[in-house]
Amino acid sequence: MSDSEFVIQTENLHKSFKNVKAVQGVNLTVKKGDVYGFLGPNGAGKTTTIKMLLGLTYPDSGTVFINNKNIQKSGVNLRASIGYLPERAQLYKNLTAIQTLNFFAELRNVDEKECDELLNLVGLSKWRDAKVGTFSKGMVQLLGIGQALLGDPKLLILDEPTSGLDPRWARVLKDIILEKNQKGTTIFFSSHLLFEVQELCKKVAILNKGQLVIEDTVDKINKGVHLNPKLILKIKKNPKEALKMLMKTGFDCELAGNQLTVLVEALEKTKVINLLEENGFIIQDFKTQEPSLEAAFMQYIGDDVSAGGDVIEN
Amino acid sequence: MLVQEEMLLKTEFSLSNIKTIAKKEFMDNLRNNWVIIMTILFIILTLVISFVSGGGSLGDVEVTVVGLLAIASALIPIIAIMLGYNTISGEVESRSLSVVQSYPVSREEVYFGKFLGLGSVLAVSVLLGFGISGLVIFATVGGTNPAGFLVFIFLTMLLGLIYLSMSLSFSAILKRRTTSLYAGIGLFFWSMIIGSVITGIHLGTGGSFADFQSGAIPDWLWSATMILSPADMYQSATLLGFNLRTASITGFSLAIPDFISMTNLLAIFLLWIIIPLVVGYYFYKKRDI
Repeated sequence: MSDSEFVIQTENLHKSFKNVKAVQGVNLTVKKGDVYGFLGPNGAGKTTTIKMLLGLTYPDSGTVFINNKNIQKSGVNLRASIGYLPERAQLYKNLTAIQTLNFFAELRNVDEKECDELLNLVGLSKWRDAKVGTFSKGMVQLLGIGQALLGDPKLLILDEPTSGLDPRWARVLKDIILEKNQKGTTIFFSSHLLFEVQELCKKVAILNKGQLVIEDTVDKINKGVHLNPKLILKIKKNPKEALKMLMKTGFDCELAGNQLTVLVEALEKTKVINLLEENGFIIQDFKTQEPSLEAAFMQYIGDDVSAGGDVIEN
Repeated sequence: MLVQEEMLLKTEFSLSNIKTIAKKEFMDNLRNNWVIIMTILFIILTLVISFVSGGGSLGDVEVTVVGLLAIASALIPIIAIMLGYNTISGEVESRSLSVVQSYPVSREEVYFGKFLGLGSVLAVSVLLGFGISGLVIFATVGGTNPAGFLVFIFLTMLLGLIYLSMSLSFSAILKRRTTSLYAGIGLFFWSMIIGSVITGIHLGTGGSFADFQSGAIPDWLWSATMILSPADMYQSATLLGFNLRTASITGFSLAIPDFISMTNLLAIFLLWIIIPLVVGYYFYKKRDI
């Protein structure tokens, strides 16, 4: 395995806990400079996969390459360039915010001066000397983000990073991610908030029941499930007649009150509007809604989200 | 070969990383309420026992220590188990350990760093708890054997390290914080009853209770007790530290036979510390975090 453009590559990863197959034959490729979204319903195997990427959990079979080096066979120094934030991590309650960052800075051999800068970046300077045990969940999450950014790692692996953050700090975090990415940091980002992933990620993988359903760019995934944009129109009079007319013409549409939603190819929007006007319908308002990653996700996953994936061992 | 088996063969040691982990454990646990409460309790108990044994004023340190042995044998396991039971399984559950192990630090550095850090907390607690009260006693009534008192403090630390090593090991083996706690409680009760179990075997195989009152305890019973019961071993070693081979503790007359020496007992102390620690390391090295 030697393709230097890849920061993360996995080959046929498998992991089971007792009788549950948590991860089954997962192959991922994350390019240098990507913001890579890792999606899946709860229990899909995302966290188990992430832990295997970091060497925290051992795969039953398969290999993880970080910067083209096998994580299991390489020394711990391979992790020096990785910043990691687990989902809902609790840090050490009796340490203060600055002591926490100083501890992690020492492990990564980073100048302690950086800790104060990071506390400032994540908005915790005021609580520099307060014990982590007194922090809210959101503050602990911000401190966790601070530790992940220590030493400006070239790869950031973030598992549900906005979990517990209020919208303002979620926005700040997204800006930090985008800024880091512009400076060349590769971001591997797991979230169940699909709008976040759509906003941030160039490439996405969807995992379900421990299996990789698809790995591609957001655009290609949307096109792949043949989702059309929606044209949403408000019709002043006789919306039912308008619905009938459009259906007769062959459009896929539905009516809710006086709001008519029509699935259209990009070039057909004008055609629909013209058709309605030519037939005497008055359009009060209209808007178009582009296909979302959420719609694609639902199409891939459907309602079938049970079993497999991440397991808490007993 | 499974990945876990491959990993077992690979070790990476950096003293600087061990020191960093140990320092963190020290800072984090020194403020643990349990540690503070136990340290204060050590001071109070030592002074109270000294006062009682002195018949209304502080008594000699040697008499105080003999009076303290039984209670210290029960309290030290508690503080050590409270420090160790949660260390690995609890941190896996809270995910803080996954953050630490995502850094360039090996599992052996984390595991042994934790033992070192927690061991230091224990040592400080024992040193402050018994040291402060010891100083008060020496300053008030003087004493003929300060070296014996220092040996007592040292052996108390070793006793704590035995239970720390075992509870840390359970914490590395067991997956959940609650099962580690149950194991810790089991460990405490084992420490309380193992001496009695051995005594029971003696009584059940033709021995007599009078043997204990007269001090005529058979050699095999001495050997078994010294090897299997850390608390009894600790009590005997402390008496040897004061150059005492006979004493009366909680109604039992002890006459330590000549084949039991401080060197033998220290070797057993070390084995009790090292064996569980290494077993725990083996499991920690191959566990999923």
